Amino acid sequence: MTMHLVVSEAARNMAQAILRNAEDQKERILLEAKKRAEEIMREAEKSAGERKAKLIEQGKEDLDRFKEQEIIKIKIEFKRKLYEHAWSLIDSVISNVASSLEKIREQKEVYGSFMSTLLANSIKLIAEDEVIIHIDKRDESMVRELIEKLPDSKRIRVMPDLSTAGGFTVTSKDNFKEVDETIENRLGLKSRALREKLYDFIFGDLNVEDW
Amino acid sequence: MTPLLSKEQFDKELEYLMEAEKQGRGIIEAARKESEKMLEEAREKAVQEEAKADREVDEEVKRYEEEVNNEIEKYRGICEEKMQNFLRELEKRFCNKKSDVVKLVLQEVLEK
Repeated sequence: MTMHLVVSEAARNMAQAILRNAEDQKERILLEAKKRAEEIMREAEKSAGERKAKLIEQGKEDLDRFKEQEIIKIKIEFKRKLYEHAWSLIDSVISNVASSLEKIREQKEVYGSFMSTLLANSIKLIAEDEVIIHIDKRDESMVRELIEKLPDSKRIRVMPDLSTAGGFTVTSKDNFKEVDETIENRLGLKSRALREKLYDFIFGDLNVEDW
Repeated sequence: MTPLLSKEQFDKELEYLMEAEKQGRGIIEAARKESEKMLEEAREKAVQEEAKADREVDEEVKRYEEEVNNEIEKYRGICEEKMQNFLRELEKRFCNKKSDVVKLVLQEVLEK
């Protein structure tokens, strides 16, 4: 106190009591505030810690799911590439094989038997008074020989006007009926089933699914 | 008996006590302000703590994301290598069996 007053002992004691009381209250207020501040911090740390753990866990779970999906996508992508490549090899062989099939003519017995059976069946199928067989020039003598052996060979005309790896077409005189037994046509008709067979034959034991 | 104070002395002592009372109130007021300040700081720290936690979450998730992306890329690399080997194997088998393939095709085409 800055006042220059002469005060009694009693007044000084009372003033000191007032100030002590104020100091006590100050201590209590500050202690209470300190406790409350500590409590706020504890709660904040706890809440932030829990929130952090939860968000991290959630984020990691999301990323794990993303990873699984990506891995599945990658597997599918690579499987697709493998299948595409395998099938493109098969398709290439089918589309290029026709020329190789011409070699069948070198196996005279096999080719002759093939032509003989199919000729008889095709002529029967057309079932007309007169039929025309269109063949490749290279097969003319063999076909004529085969026709000689067929009954009603006189109603069959042979025309070497076809260019084919093998086989023939048979038409009625009016061209309304036709049986196409060329190797190219047979290959075309069977290509779907053939693709499956070739796949099994070449790659069957390579299991892409296990990949 | 305590002698009665003179009016002047009484006024002086009253003023003295009132001054003490004023100081006391000042002390308490200052303590209350200090208390508010402490609480305000605590609340600010709490907000900072939340923000810090959010930053740590971002950092941790980002770190994990990089880890996951690296694993995915690693897996892709392994698959790529495996696929190239597989493709080579396909080609090899295809070349080895090409002549048999022609025979098989022929057999199928000639099937009556």
